Amino acid sequence: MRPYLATARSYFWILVVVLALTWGPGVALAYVEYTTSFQADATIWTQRGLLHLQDDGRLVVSPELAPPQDPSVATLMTPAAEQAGSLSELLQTRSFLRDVAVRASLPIPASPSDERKFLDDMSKRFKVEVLGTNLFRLSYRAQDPHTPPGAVTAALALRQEQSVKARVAAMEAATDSYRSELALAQTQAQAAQTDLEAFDKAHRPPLGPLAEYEQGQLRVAVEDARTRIADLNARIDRSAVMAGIVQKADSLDFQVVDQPIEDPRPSGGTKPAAMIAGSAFVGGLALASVLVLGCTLLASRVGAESDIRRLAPATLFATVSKIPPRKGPTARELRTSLAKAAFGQRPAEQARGDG
Amino acid sequence: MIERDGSLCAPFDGLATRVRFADLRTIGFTSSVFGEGTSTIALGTALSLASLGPTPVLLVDANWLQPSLTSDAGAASGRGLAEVLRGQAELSEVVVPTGRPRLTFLAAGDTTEGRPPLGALPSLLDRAQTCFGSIVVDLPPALVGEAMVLPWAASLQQLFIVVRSGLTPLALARRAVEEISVERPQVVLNWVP
Repeated sequence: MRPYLATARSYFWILVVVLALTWGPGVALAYVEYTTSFQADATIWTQRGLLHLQDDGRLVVSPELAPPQDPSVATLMTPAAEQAGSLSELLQTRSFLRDVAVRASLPIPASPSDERKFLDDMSKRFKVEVLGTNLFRLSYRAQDPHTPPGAVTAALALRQEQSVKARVAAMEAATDSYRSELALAQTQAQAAQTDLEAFDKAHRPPLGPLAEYEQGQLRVAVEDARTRIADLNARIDRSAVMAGIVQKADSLDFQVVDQPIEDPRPSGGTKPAAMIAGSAFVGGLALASVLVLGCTLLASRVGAESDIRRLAPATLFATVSKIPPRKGPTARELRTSLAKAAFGQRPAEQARGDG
Repeated sequence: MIERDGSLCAPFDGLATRVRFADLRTIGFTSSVFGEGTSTIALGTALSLASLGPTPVLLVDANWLQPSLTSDAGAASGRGLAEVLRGQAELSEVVVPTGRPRLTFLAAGDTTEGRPPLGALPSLLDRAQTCFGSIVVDLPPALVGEAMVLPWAASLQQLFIVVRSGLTPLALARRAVEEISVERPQVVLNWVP
């Protein structure tokens, strides 16, 4: 430890400069980040779909809610986590972010690469936090106090519109299906009625038991067809009002409890600023440590002629210079060449070689 | 006769000249640990001294821990310093001439029978000085083979501690200086950029 402390003392002012060069800008950046961060957030209460669309086109109360949820029943994902997760995913798509930017009147750069950077940066500025089972928070951080509330509101409104649009599209698809089924049912009813009238014309009362049975069958067919038509008409009527119900249901499932508000004071920049300051602090310390470590290791080796004084009472007798790599051999090559020069052609061997 | 390759010996000419001007006839090279370039410096200095002339030079491989010069000379299985110190051979019988004029080599010898006695070193050096103008000894690292280095340190005119620039830890170099404890420890700084 002592050599390191001695090195640190020797290079005190260099270390001070290094630390000042890393900590100074770090603290300045952190301060700028803190003072130019403005955040707005909205708190959302959510639950799983209150109304559930059955296969037969009926809207029923979700089985999870009726009877009331049993707290002992383990749920893999809370409603807030589910909604926060889907919103986070949406906020990673550029098309959604572009719609948010347009709705919040944010200036989108014209060039595609700049637009991409802008949207990626925008994505990083959104943050979704789960606060509890049914609560989550959406926040946006910008460099001015006016942008964040608009961005949060736009993101939530777009998410709601998309959700409702998807459900309404599903309803419309179901209605179209009912209409085609109704047309078929009406054709079948018409055919059954025609068959019954033809039978009545062909058979005068009193009817025999077989004819009576056949007439009963035809009447049942007509009644069935009429019932089917009535049922399909009812379903189509329900679908017509369902869009409004779905919108209402969605507003119940996804309620913005706290609306985003514009805060003129800096907010939301504490954590990024702390991160910047912390990184600068750690970076400065690491750099200083590397310097101390490197200098200690270098200083503890005999490097130059002046270092020989540290070997007193020994004195320097002579130096042997290193041969520059481009001009001559390496240490190993020099040794090989010297050995070859001294021992390579011994007189005895020469004599033997000469034979 | 092979002409002296100036660029090859150039890094060692300064060292050899200093040795010659300091009138050091018996010198040795050691280091703190392996890999400092001691054998290369011993070899280069011997070559440079031989080329300076006019007296003959004896290069001794006394690094019994890692006799790399002996391996380079292809004399790993031959007799050498160990046999002379054991009294099993005469110096004149085991020294071999090299490809360079005025340079003779004494290999490490066989140390499988155990470490040779080093008590005869002063007399060996006296005998060698009658035939050779300079004696250059390659020694093992001081911190690894202390027992092999200290007798040489007492017998040689100068023992140099080789320190490789930018590589040798200061603490180890300092320990090597302390271990050798000669009157005037001197350092050769190797491979200076």
